Amino acid sequence: MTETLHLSLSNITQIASKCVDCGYCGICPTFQELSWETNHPRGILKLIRLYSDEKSKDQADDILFDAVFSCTMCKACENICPVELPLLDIWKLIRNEAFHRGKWDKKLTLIYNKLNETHNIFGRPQKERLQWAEKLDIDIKGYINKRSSLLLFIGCQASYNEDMQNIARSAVTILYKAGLDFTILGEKEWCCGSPILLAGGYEVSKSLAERNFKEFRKLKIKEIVTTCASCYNVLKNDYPKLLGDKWNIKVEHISEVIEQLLIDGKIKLKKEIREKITYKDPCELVRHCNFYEPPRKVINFIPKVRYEELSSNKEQALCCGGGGLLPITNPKLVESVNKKLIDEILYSEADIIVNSCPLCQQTIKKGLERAKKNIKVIDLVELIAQTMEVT
Amino acid sequence: MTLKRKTRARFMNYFKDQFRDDLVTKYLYSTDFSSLSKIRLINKKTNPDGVILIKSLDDLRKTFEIAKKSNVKLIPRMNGTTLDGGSLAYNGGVILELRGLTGEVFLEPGEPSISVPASMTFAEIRKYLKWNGFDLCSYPINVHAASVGGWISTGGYGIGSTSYGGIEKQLLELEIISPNGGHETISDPSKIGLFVGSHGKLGIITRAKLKIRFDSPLVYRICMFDSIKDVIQALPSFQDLDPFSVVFYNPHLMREINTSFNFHLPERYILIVVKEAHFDEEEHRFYRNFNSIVRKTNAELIDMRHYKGLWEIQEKLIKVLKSFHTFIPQMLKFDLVSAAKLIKSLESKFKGKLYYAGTLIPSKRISLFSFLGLKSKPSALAKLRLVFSFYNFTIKIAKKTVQGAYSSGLWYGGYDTKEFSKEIKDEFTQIKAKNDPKGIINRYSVFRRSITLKLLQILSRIIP
Repeated sequence: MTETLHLSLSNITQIASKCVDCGYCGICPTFQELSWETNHPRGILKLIRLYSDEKSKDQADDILFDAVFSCTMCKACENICPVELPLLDIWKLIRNEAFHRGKWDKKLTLIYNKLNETHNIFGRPQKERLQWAEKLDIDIKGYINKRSSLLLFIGCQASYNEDMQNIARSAVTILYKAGLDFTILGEKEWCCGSPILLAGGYEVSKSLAERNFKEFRKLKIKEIVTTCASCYNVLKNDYPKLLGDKWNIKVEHISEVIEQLLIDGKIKLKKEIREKITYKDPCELVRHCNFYEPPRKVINFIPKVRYEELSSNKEQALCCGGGGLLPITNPKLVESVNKKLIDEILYSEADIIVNSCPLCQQTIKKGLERAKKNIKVIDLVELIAQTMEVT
Repeated sequence: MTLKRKTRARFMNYFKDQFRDDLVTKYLYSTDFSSLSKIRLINKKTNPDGVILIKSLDDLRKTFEIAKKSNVKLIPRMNGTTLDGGSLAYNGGVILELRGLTGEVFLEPGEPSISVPASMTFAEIRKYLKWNGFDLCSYPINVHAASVGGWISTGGYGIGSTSYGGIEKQLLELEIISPNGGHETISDPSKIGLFVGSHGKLGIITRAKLKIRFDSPLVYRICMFDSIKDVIQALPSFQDLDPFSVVFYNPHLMREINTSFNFHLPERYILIVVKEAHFDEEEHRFYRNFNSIVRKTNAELIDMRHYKGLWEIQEKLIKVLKSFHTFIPQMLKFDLVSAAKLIKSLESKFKGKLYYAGTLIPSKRISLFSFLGLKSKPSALAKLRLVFSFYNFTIKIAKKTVQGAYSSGLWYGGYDTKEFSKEIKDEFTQIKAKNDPKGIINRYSVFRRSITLKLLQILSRIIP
């Protein structure tokens, strides 16, 4: 069941006991808001020890499950842990345990059912997966499900969420105009499995991964490009674990491809942007994948760009609060975590916030609305598509 | 022990979900970084009667009001628990979780200083300062966990203390709230000193104003020695370089550092001297002088170019604990004259098990973080015996060898005349009587020194 984690409840207590109590994981953004030791990653490890003891199991379970579902999965705790405990894998395992004990939040169960039935998190029919292409100037019929070594994996957010559909259009436009031979799965694309994996639903995420992999194989895909930080993280880090040795596909973030296209001169950025730009590193890229240079390099190709880093950037980037399914389980907590990031954005005096994660974008936009600030939040591919010319 | 129904109801009525007394929460607040809480045989009981999450000064005032009325003990707790066991509830009491007491940060570049809420960690403060071109003068090694309030109340020394002194020397102002309802700002240095190391006994520190310095580059040099005696003998010469920090590691710890951080340094006594260097000339002068001292002492120079980043591991040194099944930590501060004797005795007693890192602090003293590390799983009894003999032996040797003041992780808030003058003790007592007449904050020391010694002696004899 838990090949993904190489962990099981039987050895999880042993791992938890390796915590040296140093407290470095107090950096956790949700703990900083809630302040209870029960929400401190160190405290959660102690809760696990209590949970594994039959005598205290029933007293600890609700507090433990509540604590692990209050996590944004930003990975700040795991990255700072001096004894290198696999904290996120542990949290996911506990979430899985909650699932098997019927302790999931009802809204999570709803997403689980939607994914099982419709294969996307919005519960919409697969037929609508290509709705975003209706407003596209390019005829992409010939690109759907054709045999190619390069696949553009669109993702559920860019496929169904109207606010995010321009990301899909921009990505396709860039690849098309650069003359790349690529394909998209269209209606045959299923959710990558990220949300359900975060919720601890390994069984479903494995079946999604297997189904997607089957489609990749049919089209002889050798390389997958994605715009979404979550899809990238899951395809890059979790698919090899879920699928084992048979997984042999290279995964790239679209910013890597764009950077290469710019270096090769296949596309050029023409339009000047005079507003001050900053980039918010999504946790799933920077902390989960140690990925932060390509987006910056791409932005710096923009003529006369005024780029400035946020005070907390790269590995130190603040969590937006929108990860780990927290918007579903505890929206109020998202707001308070998000406030710190919004304060930092306002302090930066940037006019445009560039990002590569639909969840970050939504959370930042809401945060800026609450702060009554009119700052543009845009995905990296949208920005590039707007400034691009073809050579 | 549990709270009386009436008292519990008072807390519940005011604090609602900010007050918790379920078994799970109480269990989580029953331990800290010290070994003490883990010694179940003698620790009486460390489960608190409840925990209150303090979010505002009004919360604090109300807590004091109820606690005074009901005669409830209060134990303050912030980020970064200590080796002193000072954040535990011995024989009951209510823990004040102060991490929720946040606030604004004020930077005064002209002074230069920074005013911060006491719950802020040193890592957060340094991050803020670095954005603005400043840094802290002195800060603890566990920078990611330790809070300002916590470090003040345990009287810490750390990185930068060789040059700038411990936390006491960094404090320009303290804001405290005391159980008598007073909310005062203290700026008199002699009065501030009383709060340092007091474990909150005189009142809860809510804000602190700290000295800061310009974020100037640090350079370092390393050398090695054959014995701890040679290291200690050489320390005063290195002190003459006006270093920012001087740290040393014993060969066992060096072996773990090599493994954990992928260095290939000799497994000998390694000494690192760090200096602020504003100009090239200053940097070169430091290197010349350092080399000159190395020639005059029994040290051997190591080409630090091969070990770039060694200084930076300070803040992550805790990583070496990863390879141990059990570690029993201890923190000692004592004079340089006695250091060689005491460390040598400890080394011969706990051959192969003693790991330590020392930091040179002002007034020719060192702060020594040591731990007994076991890679295999000891029996519960063997572990207990080791804990007792470690503390017992340390105190026994310290009594014989240490000249002047010393402290250990077995007691806290110990303002007795052995360590401090009668005048200071009297002043402390006076303020305590004024601020906390009913003695509700941190009423107990972990153990009294005399009792500790006797208890340890008896226990190390009776445990096989």
